[in-house]
Amino acid sequence: MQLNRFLTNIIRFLMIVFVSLLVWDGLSKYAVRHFCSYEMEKKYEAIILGHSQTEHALDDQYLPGVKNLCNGGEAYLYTYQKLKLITAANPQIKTVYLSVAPNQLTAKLDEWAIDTKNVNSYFSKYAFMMEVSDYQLVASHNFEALLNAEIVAIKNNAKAAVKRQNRVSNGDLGGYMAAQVSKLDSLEQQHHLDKEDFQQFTKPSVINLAYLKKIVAYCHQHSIQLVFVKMPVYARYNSRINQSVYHSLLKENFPNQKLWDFQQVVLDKNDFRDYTHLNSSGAKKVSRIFAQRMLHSKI
Amino acid sequence: MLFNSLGFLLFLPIVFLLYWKVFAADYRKQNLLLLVSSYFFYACWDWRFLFLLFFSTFLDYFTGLKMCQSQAPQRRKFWFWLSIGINLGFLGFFKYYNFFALSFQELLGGFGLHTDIWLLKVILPVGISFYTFHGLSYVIDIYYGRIKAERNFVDYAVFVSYFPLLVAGPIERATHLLPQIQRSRSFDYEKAVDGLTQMLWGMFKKVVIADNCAEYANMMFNHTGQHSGSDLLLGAFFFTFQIYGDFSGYSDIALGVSRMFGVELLRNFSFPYFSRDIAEFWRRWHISLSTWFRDYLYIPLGGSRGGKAMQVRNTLIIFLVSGFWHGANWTFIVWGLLNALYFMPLLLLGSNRNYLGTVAEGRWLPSLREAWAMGTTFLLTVLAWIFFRADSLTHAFHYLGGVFSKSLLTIPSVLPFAIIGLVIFFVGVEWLGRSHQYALQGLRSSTPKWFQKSVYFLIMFLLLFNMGKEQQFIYFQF
Repeated sequence: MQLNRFLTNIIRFLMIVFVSLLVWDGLSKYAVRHFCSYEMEKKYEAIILGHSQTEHALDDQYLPGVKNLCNGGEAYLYTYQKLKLITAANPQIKTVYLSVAPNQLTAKLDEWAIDTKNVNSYFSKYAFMMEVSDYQLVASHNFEALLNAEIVAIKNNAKAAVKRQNRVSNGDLGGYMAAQVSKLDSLEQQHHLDKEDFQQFTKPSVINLAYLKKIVAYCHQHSIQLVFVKMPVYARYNSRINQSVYHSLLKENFPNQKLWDFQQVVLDKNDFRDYTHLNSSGAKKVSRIFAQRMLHSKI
Repeated sequence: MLFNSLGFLLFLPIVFLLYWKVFAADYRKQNLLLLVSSYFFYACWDWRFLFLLFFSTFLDYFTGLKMCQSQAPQRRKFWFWLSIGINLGFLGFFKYYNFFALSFQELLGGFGLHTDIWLLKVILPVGISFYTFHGLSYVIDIYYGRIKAERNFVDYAVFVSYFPLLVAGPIERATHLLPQIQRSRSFDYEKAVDGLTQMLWGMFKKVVIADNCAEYANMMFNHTGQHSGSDLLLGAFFFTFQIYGDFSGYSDIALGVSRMFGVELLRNFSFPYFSRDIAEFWRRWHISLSTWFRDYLYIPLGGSRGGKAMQVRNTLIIFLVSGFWHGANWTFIVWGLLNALYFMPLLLLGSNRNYLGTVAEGRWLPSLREAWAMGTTFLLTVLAWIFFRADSLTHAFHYLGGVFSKSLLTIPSVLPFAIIGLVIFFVGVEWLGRSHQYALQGLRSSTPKWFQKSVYFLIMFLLLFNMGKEQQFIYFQF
């Protein structure tokens, strides 16, 4: 009798907590969607999306009409949500430049979609955009992190909504990040290249690839021109990558997709922050060449 | 399995329901369930060390029986020392071998002799210090005729490995816990609600206070050279609350969970930061360890008998051993000695038992004198915690040097107001509940139901919305 009373009271208490959380969750998602702004200036007709390589390599001050919205460590699952969000709020967007680097198509980087750190920071940010299938995907791999991310989302959404922020201009959704240093010499001294895992490039991605396909399909459906871009990495690093898996994945899954590969851009050691990222000096060079390419291809 | 994990939130209701719904009629079956659940709980961390736990349990069970069966004192002595030797041998090997080996290597290095010493490359089995001390107290109590050996292996194994206390205490005594295991238990609504409330408060302490304070404290201790004196002092304050929230939070969860199963555990904390001197602090901090050392080391060494010199020697030994119990690092030894240093003047002046009651009993606020005494005691413990938290003695002195620099009087560069606010709320609630077993206990007897429910919801939401980055319980490493 006493036990049943205890269990009933516990269940009642937890139900009230759970329902309150659901209400808060719904309200905060509604608020962040309707009270925050995702609009950009009308002059921006193109955006750059992707991970840290494009985040560091493409300085949008040299790219007229283009806004860099890249985020380091961002998996395509989250890029896809950002794409939907930005293009819905900014119908003037005609072109999307998307980073498609060899590491983004490896199984290792599938972790970016589901590991605790990224779920906490990215899932919570885009939770209000997620579809049921996205929830199912993350829940099946990391349920605890998903619950935590939902709580973080409620908190962050409420804060952003109260401040009525423009989440593009406040940098919430990413942007160009200038790196001032070059660490290549010290990395070379430590023989860092020998410690890198190049085997990863032989194992193709599942999650990232699936969401890349969704991005392609979304752009096609909304008549948005999509260009894959590949930023330069340090030549010695690049020579160790098994490129065949990357190229065959692209050929197999996206046969008609444009790819702008900037690996051949002439850069010296001082243009790199490390093996896979440019610093501001490198970004300046690559961005100018990127701008010329835009001009020539009339995009 | 961590108390603050999703796994535990599933594990606990399942065991609870089986315990009270399925096996309630037979306490022996309940004990068996507790044993299986405890081994599962432990195996979730690392199943390989389950064998060590089982071996340690069996060793003490067997030597306990042998001691009781032996008529000749020599044989009793043999079984007694066999158990003590093997228990301490395991503890010493896993916990202290590398420390002694490296210290020996450094010593040889000082004489210009360079050696390659074999080091143990195994992580410390979680809870080894706790379950070893359980076993030791059992064997010592049998040897001195305080208890009889337990014949039922399951009951004894539950005493050693009962999951709420298995990995971080409180350190139980056979005289207290075994009788509770050996009798039938019936569900008590009031006790279960009390247990759940204590568990909720323990979670709050761990997840909200300790884990949030940890982020700031880690920043200061991991990058000591980059911060001002005021930042470092604030970092030390945060660590002071982190370790209290972490360890007393764990103890509250353990006591609360156990109460839900109808088993009372020894109290481990009694609002130590409201102590008016260090002697009182040590009567209120990690009580089960302090009393263990008192009963099994201080008193056998002669205790307070034999004059002041003997008392000073024994007290010094206790603090030294207590420091060393926490870990194989000179920082813990210095932490122990520093506390001994704080304690000695009180001992020599005979004023170490001045404060036995609750501070400001029956009053809302302390007197100025009490506030001053609490403040100075608190500051002394903050300074001592710096040694406890630092990676090495060099680091500790570097940290202290940083604190007592010119920049001590500047405004801290990082002021996490939200965390400071939570700590103030926490201290306030603890102050209001200081005459009870835990801060929220008085709530049920002295406030209306709607208020109690509002507080539970508030704590629950603070818990959910102010979770810090999950940190391992500090005392798991001991």
